Amino acid sequence: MDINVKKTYKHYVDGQFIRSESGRTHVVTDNKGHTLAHVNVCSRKDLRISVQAAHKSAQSWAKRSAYNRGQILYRIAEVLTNRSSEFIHELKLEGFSEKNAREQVEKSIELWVSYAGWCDKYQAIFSTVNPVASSHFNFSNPEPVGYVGLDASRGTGFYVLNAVIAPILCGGNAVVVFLPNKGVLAGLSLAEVFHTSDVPAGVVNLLSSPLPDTLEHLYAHRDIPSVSSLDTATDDKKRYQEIAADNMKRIRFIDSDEVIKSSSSPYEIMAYQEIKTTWHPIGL
Amino acid sequence: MVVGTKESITLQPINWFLMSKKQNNIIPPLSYSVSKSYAPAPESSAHIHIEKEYGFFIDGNFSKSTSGKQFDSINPSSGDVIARFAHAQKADVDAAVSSAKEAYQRWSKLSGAQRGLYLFRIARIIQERSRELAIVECMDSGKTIRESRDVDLPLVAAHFFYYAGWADKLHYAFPGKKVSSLGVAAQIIPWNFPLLMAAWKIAPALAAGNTVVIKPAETTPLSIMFLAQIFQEAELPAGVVNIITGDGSTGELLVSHPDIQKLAFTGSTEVGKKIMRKLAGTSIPYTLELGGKGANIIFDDAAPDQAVEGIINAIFFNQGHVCCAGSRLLVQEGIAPTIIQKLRDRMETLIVGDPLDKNTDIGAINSKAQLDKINDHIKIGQSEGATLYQSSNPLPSRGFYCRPTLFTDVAQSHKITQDEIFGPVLTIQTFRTPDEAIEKANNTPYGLSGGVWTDKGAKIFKITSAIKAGVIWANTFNKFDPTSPFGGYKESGLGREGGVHGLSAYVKLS
Repeated sequence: MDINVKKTYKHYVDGQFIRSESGRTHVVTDNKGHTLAHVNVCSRKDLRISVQAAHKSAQSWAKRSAYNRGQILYRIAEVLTNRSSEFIHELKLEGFSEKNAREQVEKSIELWVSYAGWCDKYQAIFSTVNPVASSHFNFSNPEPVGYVGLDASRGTGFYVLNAVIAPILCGGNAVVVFLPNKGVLAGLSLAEVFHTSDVPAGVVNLLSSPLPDTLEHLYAHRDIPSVSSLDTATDDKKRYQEIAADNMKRIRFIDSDEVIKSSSSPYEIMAYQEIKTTWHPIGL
Repeated sequence: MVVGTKESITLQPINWFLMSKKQNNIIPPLSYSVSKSYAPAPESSAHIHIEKEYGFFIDGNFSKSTSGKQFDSINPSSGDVIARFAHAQKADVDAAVSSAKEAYQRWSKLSGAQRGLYLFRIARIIQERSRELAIVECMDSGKTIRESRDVDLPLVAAHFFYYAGWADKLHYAFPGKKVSSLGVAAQIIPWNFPLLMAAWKIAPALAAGNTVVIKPAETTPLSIMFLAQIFQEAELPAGVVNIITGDGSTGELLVSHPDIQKLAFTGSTEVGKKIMRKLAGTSIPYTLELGGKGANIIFDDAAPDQAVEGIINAIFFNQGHVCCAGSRLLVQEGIAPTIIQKLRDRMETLIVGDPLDKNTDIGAINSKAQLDKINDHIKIGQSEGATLYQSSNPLPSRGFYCRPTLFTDVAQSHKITQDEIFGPVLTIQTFRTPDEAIEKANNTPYGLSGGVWTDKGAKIFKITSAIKAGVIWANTFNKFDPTSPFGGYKESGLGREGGVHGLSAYVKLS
């Protein structure tokens, strides 16, 4: 009889695979009710530590050359390709069909390749040199907002998760992600891809199974400048927007169905950018 | 008005810099051995016709309020009432929005080129009536004629001219996207640049095919009524722009109106947050231009006299009623004594007085309430232990005025360093390294503007890219242009106004 060695699924925070400080886990089962794994239940403290890690790493990630970020995003596609059978297997375990699982992984790889290419191009499309009427050189260019809280906890599947993380990283932002409950194992395994693709520690932080008050705290946390929320119920949208106004978070609501239909877009990158305008006199 | 006759002024040195080790850097204070008073040079307002009472501008006509409720607008240079304005209630807001909704059906179906023609017309009439509008702006807001004539009004005309040209080119502006208009845009503007803010809001909204309901601030509702006349002269179709006047309660009615499809607000961060909460749960897009506490960083290799002019312009432009004011001065330690002394000397030469006098540098504070708020902060600054310096210029006996003010011995945690004072009050801190300057500059919830003064290009780009703010001026300050996007990071707001980025706030992309 084969006795498999099973994987322990952990949070991925600041480049480390760690358990939740809550000490609590949530059981993930297959369709038949067999236990697949116990994933960590994210607490507020886990969130806080992740935000600190994202804050710390964001500046150096933004300072990397666009070329370098493009190479790292391409490396993600390489590693994902290399390990695609594992991801397909994990998605199947969680109830996705073979065809659907394969499609999700293949589309994700295409997406990372596409965003790898965008890393050094969206700036040229959305920057302007402004012909001001005075003797000044004046230009406007996008800058990353910093780091993003991504509430994908209701999102479905693996492709959607990749499709919302990629434009955030592409634009030089760090991210703290609440993973979807369906597709959580593949989502957590994605950490291993980031970890082996030279994504600096803290740039991607992956957390699973937040309790409701932890989830809400993502919208309240005063050190998060931008938050995106997947498949949010109407009532929750209102509440989250009200909470997010406290530090004027840039807040977006994203519909998984729309993401599934879409491909890479520089407008997605721009959703996590600020426009900075710089003036300098032109001498005589 | 005769302003300040001075015989031999000698400035008291600041104790703080006497204690500095680098005594040899100290330049002697200027001594004015001759009188520096100027003959009065008032711009005449005799030809300006101001009604005693104003109603709203709805559906192309000036109309009376339905409730009969009114409020006064005050000339802050004297404290006298300029005119009475109607205070819009629910029925008035409803009428304005429904007029805009009705007009949208036709306006949005005009070709871009046709919309552009109306905007070009408006720009031209503004140019022709520019001086008249500049005088009206002074009288109602307290800003100086020098600024309203040379800054505000040229920019107002330029904004209409710029966005007029975009109206038929929208499909070139957003690659890969289809562009359409949004609908009725609700717009709420502040009292610091009444006409300019109206232009920033109305021009791009109309160019993109939206119609407008706009509410000016309650202390400055006058000049926009002249703009309404210009809309009539330009034969802008009725209902495309509707103007209602009132206070925050009117603004609230407008924000929560079910028929608006876009909201644009310029004002305080506090109200901006309220608006965000109010719009929570709706899908109405909003742009917010809010408060600021801009850091103006002076390195020891900056041209000192140029930098001092820049500091003066950064904080005392428009009485400091500027959201992007350089209200926190960060000076590199070695040149701090020199810069501070030069700054004090320059402050002594600033004339505070009649806004309509062409020699006036600093006009009237916009309202009694704002003057009280500024004076409160000056008291707080002193009680926090900061050292106050104010110029010794005389103030007019009537009206609301504040001397140019600076504080040294200021800590990052002081309220005067953290709060947006929105008046002619500058705090001065020192730093040693570029990293310390960046750290201090970014230590604020705001992120609207910043300034850097240095002779080194590499240093400029290090600083401008490290400051978390939407507009950075290097070796200049407080420059504006319709082609140049303006707007904040963090709690200074969302979205941009001006340029192609400002256009995106008024379109739907699909």
